Amino acid sequence: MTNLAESNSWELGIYQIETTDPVVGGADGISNVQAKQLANRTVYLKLLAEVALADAVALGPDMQSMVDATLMFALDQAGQADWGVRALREQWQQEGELRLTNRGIVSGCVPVKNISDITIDAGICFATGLQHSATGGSFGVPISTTDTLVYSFYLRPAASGYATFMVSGAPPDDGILICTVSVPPNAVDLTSATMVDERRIEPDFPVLINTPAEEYVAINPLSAGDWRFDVDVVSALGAPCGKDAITLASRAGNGMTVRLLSAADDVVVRWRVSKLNN
Amino acid sequence: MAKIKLITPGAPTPEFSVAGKKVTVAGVEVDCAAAQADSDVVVEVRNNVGVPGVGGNGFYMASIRIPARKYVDKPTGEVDPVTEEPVMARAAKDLDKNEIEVTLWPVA
Repeated sequence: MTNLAESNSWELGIYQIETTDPVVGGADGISNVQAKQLANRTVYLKLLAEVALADAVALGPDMQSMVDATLMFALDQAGQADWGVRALREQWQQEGELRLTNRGIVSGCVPVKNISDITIDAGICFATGLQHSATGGSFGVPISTTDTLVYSFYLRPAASGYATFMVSGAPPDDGILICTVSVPPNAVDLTSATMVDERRIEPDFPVLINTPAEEYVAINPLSAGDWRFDVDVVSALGAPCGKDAITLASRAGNGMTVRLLSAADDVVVRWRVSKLNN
Repeated sequence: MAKIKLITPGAPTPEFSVAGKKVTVAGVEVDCAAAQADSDVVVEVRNNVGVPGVGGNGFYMASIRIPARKYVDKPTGEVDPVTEEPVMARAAKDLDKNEIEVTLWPVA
């Protein structure tokens, strides 16, 4: 009796003995084909396993620890780099966009609260960098038995010039606010209503502006207000508006007051605040 | 009453109160009638190294905008001898407390 000859090869398939196959032994007999194929696969896998084991043993416990340490160091460095990028974007170098509107009244448009209505005089307003004529109006104000109602009276572009409108709640974005009226519940007329004159009056627009348009901008807190401010004017309407027309009226570690020194309206600004030594 | 605005709606703000024309933020009282001028005035209440106060370099706590003083022409009772028109004098209107605007910054 002798053993089957085995070779280092991966057999693609294992022969299926059929019902008509004769029982034949020997090195190439059909009865030994399956065993030979399985033996070849076994030799192949054994040699593969021996090579892998030899490689692992060759590293040694110290080398394996060094590989682990290198991986951990690389991961830590990647984490620190990620933290640095986030800190740069969220704190040390912050960016944002701001829109400054520059509208108001040159003269007239005086609101008057009467017993049963609100009247707005005609006048001259300014918007889009220009002066415009504004027609007034008289408005009956609805009252309620249960709720406090707030109305806004504002100017908006009309067929010719600007016209006065009334709306419940806040005015639209392109409106020029004149006044707000708050009517308490159970009011029988406007005697108990509160009217607030909201006009921004600039009698010398556009030559002289007494109270320039300003906006508050909050930033992620920095250690102090000595950060650098950079600005880019994306668009403006009606008048020249370069970077030098955008200034800071005030600054702090948690925000700033941006001021517009131009007659332009609808000024869109991209700003950046930098403090790399935060 | 003064208008109250929030820089960040929903965020905690300093303690504040409004009594007529006086606004108090974190214990700092601002008399808006006394501070009013002929153009808009913004009074900033800041946290200066843990001490709230008006102005300084600290974090914003509140920005109080006081509208410009408004004037009306009132007759003095005299008549101009040349034009025979009544002599008018400009008189400042009292500050309307409803026109004061208090903007509250979030507490850091």
